[in-house]
Amino acid sequence: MSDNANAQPRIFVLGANHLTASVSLRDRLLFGEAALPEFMDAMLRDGVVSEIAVISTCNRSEIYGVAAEPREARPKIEKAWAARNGVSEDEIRNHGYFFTQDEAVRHLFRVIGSLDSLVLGEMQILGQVKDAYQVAAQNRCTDFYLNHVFQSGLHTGKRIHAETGIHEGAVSISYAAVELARKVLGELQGRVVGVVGAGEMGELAAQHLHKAGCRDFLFFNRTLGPAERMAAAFGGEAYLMPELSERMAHCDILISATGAPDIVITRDQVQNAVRHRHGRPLFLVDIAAPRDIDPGAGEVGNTFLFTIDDLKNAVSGNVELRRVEARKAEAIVEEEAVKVEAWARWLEVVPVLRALREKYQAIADREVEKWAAGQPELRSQLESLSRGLLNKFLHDPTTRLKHLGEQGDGPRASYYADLLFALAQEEKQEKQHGSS
Amino acid sequence: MLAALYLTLHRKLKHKTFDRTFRKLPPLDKLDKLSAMWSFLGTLLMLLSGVIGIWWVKRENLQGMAPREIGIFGVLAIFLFAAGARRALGWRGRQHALLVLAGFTALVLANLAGLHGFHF
Repeated sequence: MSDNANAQPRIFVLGANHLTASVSLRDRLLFGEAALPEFMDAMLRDGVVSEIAVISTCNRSEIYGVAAEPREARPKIEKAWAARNGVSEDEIRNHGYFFTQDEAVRHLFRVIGSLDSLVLGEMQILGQVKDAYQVAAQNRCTDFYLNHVFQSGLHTGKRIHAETGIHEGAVSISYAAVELARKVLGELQGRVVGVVGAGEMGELAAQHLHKAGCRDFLFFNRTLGPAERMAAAFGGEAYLMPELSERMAHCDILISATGAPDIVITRDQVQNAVRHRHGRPLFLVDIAAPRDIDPGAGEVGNTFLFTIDDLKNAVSGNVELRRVEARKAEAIVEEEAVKVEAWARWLEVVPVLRALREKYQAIADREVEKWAAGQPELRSQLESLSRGLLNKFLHDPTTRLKHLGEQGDGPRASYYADLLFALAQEEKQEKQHGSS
Repeated sequence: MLAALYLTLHRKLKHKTFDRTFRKLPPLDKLDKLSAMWSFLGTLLMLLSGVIGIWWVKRENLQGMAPREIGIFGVLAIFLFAAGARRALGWRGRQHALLVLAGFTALVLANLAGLHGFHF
């Protein structure tokens, strides 16, 4: 029994992320989708780990494993990883991290909850971890331990998503503009977007709005060539600047990003456009420096004007909000990690529980065999009776051992259970019986 | 309620106040459309109840009108104007929300007048 107790499975994580490794090293540590099953299979085949799952994104590569001795498994994994990805073992060791048991579980939960992400609160990681777990599970690389930990982790991620606002609010300037547009106009599909200036900023804004569902673009520029190029890229129409006044009324969103030294869009132009829009709101974004849109345009009824400074303010407010919400998320991580710790401690008494049940089941089977030989009907009745009695007799020892295990008294509980129920003796007898 | 929420969000957008309330409120355009739809439905119901009321007064040969009934016709006029101006003059958004709130305030006052038993 004691041998089994010592061979308890332990979870660990070996990895490197945006906090510990440079972009170039992270790139070299990445696992390609195609080669991943092969690597995991090799680790299982060589007996380095009994379970394995790999999370590999642009910001982190992490190997989660289960082994009786994680510290013995570590150098073997480092060696295999280094050889496979063309990096040195020292690089992994010096720019990576290694956590075991409770620390590994907490780390995974923090990763899933986006508390360890480059952009705090980005929830893309939840899907990435889910995919990584599915790949491992589909390739039969996970068993009860990682299944339980990953499923608890994904549950934690969902709780964080539902119970905190850590993912709320844009944290990039261009996405903040899209979010504000949504706040004013609701759904952006079918909205007409006017982009004034065919430079990089205008193109970036058009990209974000295109991603958000906008398909009708009007591009205005001093010269037609660049506007036509953008119109071809995003599927819109190109116009020269003088046509802006006439067509402004068609736009629901108007983004101005020219390099002009003076005001490009005047208050009068906006007022005139609004008059033709029958009260529909007009969303104006001025991301140019110096400003393109007359500040007075924002005072016109049903227009909403935002400058680059407003967008920066929105972003910094959102970042602060995410920091506050992160504290709530940390509390959820702690709460869920404690449950997994209790479960992991309970695992320490599982071999004892199994041995206990096997011993008394064997006794019951022998007695049934003795009394019901050649009488199938009686055998069935006696089997049913013995099963019921066994469940009742073992209920109290089982629940108490489980409780002691959860409390962290697993080894002591196992020792006394061995002593009281003579489980080790039973094992020895079985071994002797087997060898004879 | 929707009109009040619209005005709150409108103010926050104009003043660039990106606080918690701002984040929780639904989009401005949605609030405007919902406010218009519900106030229009309310107007129709009020119109229907007005017609039934007039028919009842005639049928029962009742004389004189309580201030609440007179007030209700004033409220109805405000809501009808809000719906008409939205369609004909493009009075959407803030103007529409203000009219709806004015109508609602008038409705509350008319009911209060009725409760206190003022008679003409």
